[in-house]
Amino acid sequence: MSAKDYRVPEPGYKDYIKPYPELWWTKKRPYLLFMVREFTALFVLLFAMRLLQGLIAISKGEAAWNAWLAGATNSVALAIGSLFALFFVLFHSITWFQAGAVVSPMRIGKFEVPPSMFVLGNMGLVVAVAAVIGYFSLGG
Amino acid sequence: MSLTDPVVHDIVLVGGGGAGIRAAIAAVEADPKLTVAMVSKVYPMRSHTVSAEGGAAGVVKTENDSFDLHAFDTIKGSDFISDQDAVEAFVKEAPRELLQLEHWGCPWSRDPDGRVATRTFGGMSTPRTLFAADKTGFHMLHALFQTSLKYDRIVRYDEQFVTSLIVHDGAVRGVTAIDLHSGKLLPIYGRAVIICTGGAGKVFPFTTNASIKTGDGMAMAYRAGVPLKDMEFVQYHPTGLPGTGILITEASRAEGGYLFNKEGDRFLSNYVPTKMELGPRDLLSRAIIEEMEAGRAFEGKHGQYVHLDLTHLGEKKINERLPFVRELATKYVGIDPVKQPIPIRPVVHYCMGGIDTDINGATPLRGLYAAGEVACVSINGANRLGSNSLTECLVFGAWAGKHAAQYVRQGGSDSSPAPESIARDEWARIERTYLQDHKNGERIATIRHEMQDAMEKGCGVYRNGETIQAARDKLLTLRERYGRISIDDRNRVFNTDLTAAIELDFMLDIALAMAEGALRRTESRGAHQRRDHKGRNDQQFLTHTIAHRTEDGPRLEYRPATITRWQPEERKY
Amino acid sequence: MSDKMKKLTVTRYNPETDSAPRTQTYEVPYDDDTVVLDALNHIKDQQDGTLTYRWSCRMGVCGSCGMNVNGVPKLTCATFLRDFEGDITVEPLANFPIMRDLVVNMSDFMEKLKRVKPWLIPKEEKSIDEGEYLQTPRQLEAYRQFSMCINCMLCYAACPVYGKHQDFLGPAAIALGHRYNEDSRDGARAERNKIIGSGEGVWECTFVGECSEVCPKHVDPAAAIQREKLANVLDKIKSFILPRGSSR
Repeated sequence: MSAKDYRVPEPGYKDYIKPYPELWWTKKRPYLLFMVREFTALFVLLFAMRLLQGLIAISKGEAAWNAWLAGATNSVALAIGSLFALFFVLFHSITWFQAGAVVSPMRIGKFEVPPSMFVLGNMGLVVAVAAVIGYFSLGG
Repeated sequence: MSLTDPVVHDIVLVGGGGAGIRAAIAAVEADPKLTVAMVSKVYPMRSHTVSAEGGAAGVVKTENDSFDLHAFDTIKGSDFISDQDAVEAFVKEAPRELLQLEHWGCPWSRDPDGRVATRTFGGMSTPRTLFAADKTGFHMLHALFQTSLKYDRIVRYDEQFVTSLIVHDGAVRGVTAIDLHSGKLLPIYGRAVIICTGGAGKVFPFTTNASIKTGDGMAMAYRAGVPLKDMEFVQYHPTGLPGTGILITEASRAEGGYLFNKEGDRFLSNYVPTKMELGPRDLLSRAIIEEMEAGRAFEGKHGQYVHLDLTHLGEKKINERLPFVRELATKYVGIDPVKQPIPIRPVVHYCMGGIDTDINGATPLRGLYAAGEVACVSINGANRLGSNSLTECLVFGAWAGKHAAQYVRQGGSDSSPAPESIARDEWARIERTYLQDHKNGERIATIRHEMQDAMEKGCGVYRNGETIQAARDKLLTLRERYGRISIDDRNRVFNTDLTAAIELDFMLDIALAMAEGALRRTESRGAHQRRDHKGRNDQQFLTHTIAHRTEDGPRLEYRPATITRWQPEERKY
Repeated sequence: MSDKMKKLTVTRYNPETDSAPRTQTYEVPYDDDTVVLDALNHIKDQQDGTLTYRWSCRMGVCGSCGMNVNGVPKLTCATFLRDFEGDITVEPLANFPIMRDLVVNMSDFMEKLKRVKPWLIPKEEKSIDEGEYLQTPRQLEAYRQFSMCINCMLCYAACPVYGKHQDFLGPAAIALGHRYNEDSRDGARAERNKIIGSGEGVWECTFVGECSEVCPKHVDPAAAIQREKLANVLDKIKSFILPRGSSR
């Protein structure tokens, strides 16, 4: 028999249940920051889609690629958009690594890597990879 | 109207702390069909076992240790009025229970080889105290509680405040409890009742004890005709924080901490030269009081204090072994023990006395069992050794559960059912006493504070006939004034004003039994030190005090302590 | 106590007479040592015995006295009046039904706790006569932090996911499940993850992280949840590659 069977009958008096505010994320700073972080994912998505377009263009041949490239380099709006995207991607990746430091704390032997070092190390890695890619893609 | 339909179980358990949960598990494991109602005024994991810090003793490691050694340490610590047969049985069962808890997941601290680690506690002659850093009670309680969740036959009645035992035809038949959520009285019937409600430190103003430790179980049994044993023995823990009384564990001395007076002396060399900081609690508390009286203590806003110095242990050891001490000292007195000594003073900690039980946890009332601090077997005598109490909860909790189950299997207390009128009368009493219109009565807080004040003055570390007498007289007046209280809250749902009033009623009974016992024991033994009767009197007082409740106050009898292999000797450390 | 006075605005709700909570303001004396719980006790003892709240140990380990203080979930026995400029608002913990005044109904958590099977299910059964299960200090360290939960419910009060979806197992329950999963003596991760890895479990969590911010014992339930997510994904991958015997 389960614990429930024996429970005291429900009392006649009602607990008060407060409705949860629809705009809950505006109520506290940490909640707001959380929503901003989630929102930045949108820019990451847009930027990734734009890149994907480029890849598709390559597969379609040189003319399509050049057209995409022209569109990508000549539009001021797109440049501003890309800057925004870069900023948000950076924000997202830093907070991502911060989370990562919590999820899987790193140990080197007996030494526990502090979260700040974990974030710096990973961001360093990101910058290094970006630099290598940049070096080759800008033609050495 | 204000009574709920009764519920019926095989065993009704009052209290959900260490002893209670252990008893519940033992009972359901002893009999595959039996159900246990675990009734507690708080959620079980809130029980005061949670606050125990230092450790639990048992001869788990046999190198340099033996059952005889543990037994002798305990008996000497008790100032020779523990029952030696009970102590022997206890030390033999202790390791098994501690290992059982390990098998239930308790995160005991470990040696590098993976075995459980041990430390040396006060009055123990070798390291035999298992620990989980300095949160042993917390980890034990949560391991027990979480383990209890897997037994469907342990049925919890959380936040149900038990007001009385239902006794009929010379046997206990259950309890009456106020369901805090509905405010209604719930009769819970059973064929045996186990009481595991802990001690009664709250009869004193300055205590390590939680607010829930109001001696409910002791008082309920006492009113049902069960005697209380050795109530005059109340342990002062030497190291509590001034002001709040928060416990700074004995483990801080086990790990190497020193006590210093104002003059920078490790003054214990004058009192317990062979044991120093690892002397038993009664002697250390007295030593601190003597230092205070001799003007060698510091003066602070919460009165006098001495220093507990851990600074030489280093940050690593403190973080590893005493993290909670560091957290508590930093938070509550603004002192980081890594850098500065902690101010401490003696504080009421533990009731050696309690409900009169035998080794099986059985009381003189048929069907009623008790275990843990609420009970007095007695293995603690006049002074308990640190880290014996957590083990006591396990060993005697398990035995009480097992024997109650056996009693139920053999028929239990069910020759004739208890009449319904008992619960109805109890509700009528509560309504009449508290919930009807009593205008302009006294506030319960006033009476509670005066009671606590009287107990501190009369039943402190040092006592004498006159002050005890004054406390006793004061308690009798307070008992009389209690009849004219009025509480503010007349509502039903979660009425903590009502439960506080009933707790005060319980505490007044307990306090009176303590004072009466102290007055009549005209000797000094263990935690009971009389300035007008110095020294032990083995001729007359190698006995347990047995207090029966009467309308005119406690009636005392004396029963010889059981002495088997260890004759009383001078207690020197 | 000094003559300094502080105003406390406290939520009152009496289900026998009120249809919704209201507030009441009290004034209490305080000094540097006074915590919010002391102030409530002062009110109850001296001014108004009907004020209702839970408390017990007054040393931050029993977990009874959690309340929202100025909107933040806190243990009131460890929250000092001296740390607040101006008046203080004391409310019951958010996200729970209010039983009366500052007392919330936490039976939902008690049910959920049981569902994660927070007890040791040994890898290989050993009798007591064979002694303890060996566990090195390092193996102990792997789960120790997650065993420090005092069930105070502060994390549930801080969690917007739990606020919106009451079916979410929630931070403390998952952290305790994780505690046993990480215990070297235990071997029941697969069994426990039927609930922890379900839709009501870790996948409800969007990693707001506030549970860990408010935790008074630094249990870091957010980390426990994310680690369980990772472990669940790895388990899925493993069972995809090695359909049999993939229970780690």
